[in-house]
Amino acid sequence: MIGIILVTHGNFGAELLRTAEMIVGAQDGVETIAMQNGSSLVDIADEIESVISKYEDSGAIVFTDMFGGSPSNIAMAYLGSRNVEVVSGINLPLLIKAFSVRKENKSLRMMCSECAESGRESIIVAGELLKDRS
Amino acid sequence: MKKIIFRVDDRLIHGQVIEGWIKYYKIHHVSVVSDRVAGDALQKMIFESSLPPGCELEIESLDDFIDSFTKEEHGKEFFLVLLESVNDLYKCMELIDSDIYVNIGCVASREHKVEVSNTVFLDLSEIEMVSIIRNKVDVYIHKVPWEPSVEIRNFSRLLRGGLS
Repeated sequence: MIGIILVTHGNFGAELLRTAEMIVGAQDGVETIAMQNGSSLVDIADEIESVISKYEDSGAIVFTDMFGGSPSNIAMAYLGSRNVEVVSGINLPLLIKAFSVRKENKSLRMMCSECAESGRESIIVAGELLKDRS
Repeated sequence: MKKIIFRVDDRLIHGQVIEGWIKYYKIHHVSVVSDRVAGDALQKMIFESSLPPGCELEIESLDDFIDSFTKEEHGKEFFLVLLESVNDLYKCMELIDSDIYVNIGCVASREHKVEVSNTVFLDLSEIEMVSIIRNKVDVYIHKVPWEPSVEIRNFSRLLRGGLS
């Protein structure tokens, strides 16, 4: 199964996983890596490296919280090698989508674009919704 | 705020730099000074694509930066220079004058380092270098613009007491 790796600022990733599991149940093949104040880039890179190598055969998606942030910058260094794709801007619907899509045996890239699409679609300004109906 | 900002940040461009410094001061010119990144096409691409639109980024080696900085005009707009280490900042000593705001943002924790703030960890030689720079200009620990900066005063004490 395609591995899911959450690399985030602080404990956001671990909490997001806990929350997603509250909704869709316990998940296998998920790793979380937290970047704290004072964390060294080298240590985080080592952690990502070792986690990625666990999923060398199946492939892995690294989800990060914010494009341009350190978690995403480090993760992107692994692009193009070893069956890895990086998706930034993780949110709860996106993660839940990832859990369901990875059961469908799609290509890594296809799976990522579906997740990204679902993440984008999940952002709704409620007021605009009401305006459209009236 | 002075228009030219020299910042030591071992992560160079990241969340605090983008959401903090660049957006807060509406900075349009950023220089990343790093021999490592200047020689790494993928890293350059990542940094270039992570800045907000309209923000110009130059990525250059330390020598090239030192060479070009004095020749260029630095006018009305904010100009952010990101350096990877205290050591690189020290090598820019000749460029630094009272028109430049010098701050240390993030230097990750490693073995035998002293915690100067929750994001800045320095070893003895780095503290000595900062002390020398401080004879010329003030050096601040400053993570993000909206948090208070801390002027580094206790360094002499750290040096006197050793770092054991």
